[in-house]
Amino acid sequence: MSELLYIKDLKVYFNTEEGVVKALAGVNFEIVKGSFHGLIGETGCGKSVTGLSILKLLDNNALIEGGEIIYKDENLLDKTEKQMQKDFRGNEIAMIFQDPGSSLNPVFTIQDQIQESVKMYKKASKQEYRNIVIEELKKVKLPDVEGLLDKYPHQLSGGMKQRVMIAMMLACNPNLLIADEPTTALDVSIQAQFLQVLKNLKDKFDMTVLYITHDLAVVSEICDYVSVMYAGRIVENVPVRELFKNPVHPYSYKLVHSVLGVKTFLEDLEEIPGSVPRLIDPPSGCRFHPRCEEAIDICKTKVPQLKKIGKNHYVACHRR
Amino acid sequence: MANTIIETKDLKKYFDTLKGPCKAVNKVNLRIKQGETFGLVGESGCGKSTLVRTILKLIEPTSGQIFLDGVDITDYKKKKLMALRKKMSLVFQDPHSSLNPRMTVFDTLSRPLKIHNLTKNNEETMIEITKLLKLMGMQPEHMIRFPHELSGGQKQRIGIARALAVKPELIFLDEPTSALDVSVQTKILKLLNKTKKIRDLTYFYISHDINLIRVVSDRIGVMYLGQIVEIGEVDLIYNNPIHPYTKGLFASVPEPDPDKKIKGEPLSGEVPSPVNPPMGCSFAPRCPFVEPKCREEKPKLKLLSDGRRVACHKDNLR
Ligand SMILES: Nc1ncnc2c1ncn2[C@@H]1O[C@H](COP(=O)(O)OP(=O)(O)OP(=O)(O)O)[C@@H](O)[C@H]1O
Ligand SMILES: Nc1ncnc2c1ncn2[C@@H]1O[C@H](COP(=O)(O)OP(=O)(O)OP(=O)(O)O)[C@@H](O)[C@H]1O
Ligand code: SF4
Ligand SMILES: [Mg+2]
Ligand SMILES: [Mg+2]
Repeated sequence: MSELLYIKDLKVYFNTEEGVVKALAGVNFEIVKGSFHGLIGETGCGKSVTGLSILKLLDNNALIEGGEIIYKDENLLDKTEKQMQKDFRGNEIAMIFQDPGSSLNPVFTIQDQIQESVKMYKKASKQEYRNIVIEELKKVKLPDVEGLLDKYPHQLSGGMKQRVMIAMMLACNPNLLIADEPTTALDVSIQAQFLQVLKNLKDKFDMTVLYITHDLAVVSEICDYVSVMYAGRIVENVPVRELFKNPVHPYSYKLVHSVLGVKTFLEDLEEIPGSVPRLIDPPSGCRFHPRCEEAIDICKTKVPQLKKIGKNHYVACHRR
Repeated sequence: MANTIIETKDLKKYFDTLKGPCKAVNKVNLRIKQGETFGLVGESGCGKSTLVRTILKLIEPTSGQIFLDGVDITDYKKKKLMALRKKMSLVFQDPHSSLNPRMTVFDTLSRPLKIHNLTKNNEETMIEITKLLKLMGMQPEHMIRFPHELSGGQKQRIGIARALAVKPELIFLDEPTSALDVSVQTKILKLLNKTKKIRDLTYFYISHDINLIRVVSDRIGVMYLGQIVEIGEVDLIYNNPIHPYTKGLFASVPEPDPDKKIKGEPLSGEVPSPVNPPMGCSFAPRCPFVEPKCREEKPKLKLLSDGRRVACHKDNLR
């Protein structure tokens, strides 16, 4: 097993008028080449920021406070914007962004948008480009592909935009694909087909995927390994089967148990008590302690570090 | 019997394209009862968002009629539309594009309050917005943020807060929780449910999350290529989907268990284009039960004995 990407103690803060938002406060995980690595956690916990950090596409008010992002033995945090653009973004690492709206250019036709990605790795004639674009769009099961080429993003449905974005990123033929909630606008059937496309790319090109999602069913369907995040820190790194059979961290446990079983009534659904922590003034020690039933004194003062508790299984909790 | 709050008659919305009209909504007859929660599901691109945007008169219908509380609103223009905006609101599907990138959360939420004179002064506005944010599980510091400074799920909750702000009677929720984790999603759904009971609201959900639709809805409609193909009580359809498209859709739902992979074959075949819909049943090209009649004649929505309606020629699927 060799890792393709290695994130070590990554800290990312944001400057705002109201104070410093400590969004990432020590993110640690490694992604094995050719694996599907899930990244899950509460809304606002820092999943997208983690993905954007890898590509160095963070907002202007972001400060990288520390840590390393090692991709194929190179620390991406040392790279200049020019190097990132030339050597890493696109052909090496591509990202399907969470907001389809923000990443498609409203004034370009669908054909132009995807062609731009194809150009990054292939020189071809106009007709050839057209054919490649059609092929890419067919892969994501868009209807009437030829009719779509001259359309603009606003003329597409939510799920169609999302599929165009997927096609655009797959057209880059990346080594590492960061997929940030890529199927939120897709129906289950098209989602199933998309997951199949990803599996095929993994088999054929050994593509590696960092899959960010709230959908634990999808995680169980395609991921090999999962990182669970809570308020800017990784609390558990765990093989997928273990996550569902034996989630160890108190947060992971609650998360997994809130989705298991068939739910017929709204009242059957469980929520994790307590509220999402403020990142301007995060809880001391273990950031989960105010909501944790098992918390003891040390949880309030000392940050628990990830420690090994089984084969490829790491947990950050004072009680484990 | 509860009153009908929204009714559509033969509603159509066609978009002009180079190759002819795109029949996004193609003769939809729908009746939503006051106080119910209706759930709409269907393939990506089948016309769900277009249907609600047309009902809300954000876009002009091509033909057909829309009634709100029995009053024909099809031809309502500016001033009368304003009054509608207070009665019906929408949570947009794509939270990012529906928020103005140059407006802070405070500005976004204070606008509808001011337009409809719901708060008298800045202080009241501030109190109301603080309350809304709290309900959404967000914090006062988010008030001064711009959309790009929020996470996906935070933006989505601002969209929900905006729709609730005007205290409407009917809310359309287009994929309202697709960016939320299960726990926060549950909180929001329960909150919406509570608000509904207190204010006697009507909800119209759209979602690809079949499990979500199940827990929130009283009745559901299944849409395929611009048309309703099955509609009825939620439990009936869940326990026994009849239309072949509904059957296929439900079989593709993944379960959160690594030992169980998706059971059914995902629906196969090319999705037809709404510019050139098949002449008979629009599902015929992909239907495993297809027979010659299906390709020639469009099936009508027929009432079954259990109260649901299904548009399919085959009687033996019931
Ligand atoms: N430019 C910014 N300025 C200030 N705070 C920011 C900025 N960008 C992100 N944040 C904050 O950082 C935190 C992490 O955001 P991120 O987008 O990574 O969340 P996420 O885990 O992807 O959530 P979701 O599941 O809702 O998409 C959030 O609380 C968010 O409000
Ligand atoms: N402004 C427009 N101009 C041209 N075609 C449009 C326009 N808006 C929507 N369409 C087309 O109408 C059809 C239905 O789109 P709609 O957005 O209603 O789908 P949807 O059911 O909401 O899908 P999704 O689940 O992917 O959001 C699609 O084929 C889309 O391309
Ligand atoms: S470290 Fe303490 S507070 Fe944190 S999860 Fe473990 S027991 Fe709970
Ligand atoms: Mg995100
Ligand atoms: Mg839509």
